[in-house]
Amino acid sequence: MSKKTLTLMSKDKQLFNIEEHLAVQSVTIRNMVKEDGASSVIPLPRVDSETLALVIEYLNRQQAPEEDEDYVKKFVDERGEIPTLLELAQAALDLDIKKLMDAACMKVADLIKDFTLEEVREALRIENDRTPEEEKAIRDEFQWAF
Amino acid sequence: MDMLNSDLFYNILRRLDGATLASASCTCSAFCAISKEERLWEDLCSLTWPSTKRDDVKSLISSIGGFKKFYADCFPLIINKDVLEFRWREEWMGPECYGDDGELENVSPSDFVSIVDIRYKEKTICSKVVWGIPNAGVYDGWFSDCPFRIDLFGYSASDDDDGHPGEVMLSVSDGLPPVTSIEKERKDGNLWRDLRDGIQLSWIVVNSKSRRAANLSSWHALDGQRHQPTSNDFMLHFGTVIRAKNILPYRVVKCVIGMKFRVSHVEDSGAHTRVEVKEACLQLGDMEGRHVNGGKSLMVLNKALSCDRSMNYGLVVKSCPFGSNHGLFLVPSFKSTGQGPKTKPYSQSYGFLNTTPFGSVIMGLHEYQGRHTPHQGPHQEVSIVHKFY
Repeated sequence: MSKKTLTLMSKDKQLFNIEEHLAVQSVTIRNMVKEDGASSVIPLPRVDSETLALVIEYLNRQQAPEEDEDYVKKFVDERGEIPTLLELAQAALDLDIKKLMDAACMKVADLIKDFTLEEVREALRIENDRTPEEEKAIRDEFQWAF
Repeated sequence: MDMLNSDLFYNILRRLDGATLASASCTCSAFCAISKEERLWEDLCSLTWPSTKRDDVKSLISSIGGFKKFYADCFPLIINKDVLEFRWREEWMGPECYGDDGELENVSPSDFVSIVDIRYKEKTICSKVVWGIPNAGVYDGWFSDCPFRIDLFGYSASDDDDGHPGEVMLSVSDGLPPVTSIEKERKDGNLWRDLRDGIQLSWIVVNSKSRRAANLSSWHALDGQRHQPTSNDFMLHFGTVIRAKNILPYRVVKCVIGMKFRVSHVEDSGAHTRVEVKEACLQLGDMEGRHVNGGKSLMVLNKALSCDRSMNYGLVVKSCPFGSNHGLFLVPSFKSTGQGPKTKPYSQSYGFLNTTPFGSVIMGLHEYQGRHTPHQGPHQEVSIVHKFY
């Protein structure tokens, strides 16, 4: 009996094939498969193709369960760029792949450790949405850290 | 990139160390809202101080303003800016007007709680909580006139020769270097250096009535003694310097947290090196080492809880003129791990004269270097260069 294959479609309409028993590590995909048998193509409108390729690489890993922790850690370590990691974490969140999301968030947290306020803003692409007065008030509250 | 999901932000923020979390909280209102979550700070507290995981300590912290405030009060260390400005030792010992302003009546020994966590090479070896001041209150007059001390373990140095095993022990499996004989250790000081650099101590004092808390320790040892009083014993001193204005006839009081270690086994047939922690106690004294009595000590402790704090470890250490009669002790190298103290960049050198317990004189040069290279990951070191003559 041949293994059943699913097709995933990224935001930019690229198609990726993956064996169903591997794809269902994602809780989101598992639920979809359960509901409608996932007949044809599963669209992932929020995940771009580069990120999806990474997710698929992760899902396709051949690892013994006891080596899995190390593998996922190494996997995100090798992709040490903050923007890539954020995309990966977001995709892992959408697809509900907990281990991958936790590892990506951990890596981002490690990378921004010791960053200054401005550096954090830049790294996470945060827009400051407060008036200077409001900002000063919150800085005063955390005065001990500066 | 689209705006990230707030679950994702929460997941990232909860993995940060306190100082970065504080910076991140100031970046935007979404992060600010997340950082108000006590849960995040509770997790940080239990990472930093395992004793805060205890239910009684948790409810104490909640009653004095919560984990976020507790972290902000106790993670940065006390800095005595006056000491940095004094140019001569006489200045900090000089008399200053003081009066008994009756503050003592408002301070009771039972208001204080000590929360102590000791680490050896990043592993917690002791977490203990002392409610009140031991032996205070039993004989009221006796306490307020006698030298003040809080003993972490139920017994003190005087009765430790009865074969009572230490509550806390370190062995080779904890990372202790094997010692083949005390004679060899006396010569090379391997074990001594290892303890001095490897032990991290936090001693938080809380006043449950005034709802204030502060860390009276220095995380790393500020000075110590090899082989005192016997060749099997080592002392390490942690602590801080507190302003004593209006309480005592001198400006500052040294808060000394002494830890006594004893080598109970050396490498032998069938035995491995083992060190017992015989004592950990907090005492207050003036710069000459004279003890402060219980009554005044409570007032000084109370004052300490509202001292200035700083995250600049270099300055904090500089504001603690420890050592029996010389300059600074060394600060071992450490990396910021999100659990230990975080250093800010600094660079400073000190020359000093040190008298060892054997009477020999060592002249050394300490060089402090701090590096701050956020883009290559956190990496800060304090390195020390010794030159012996």
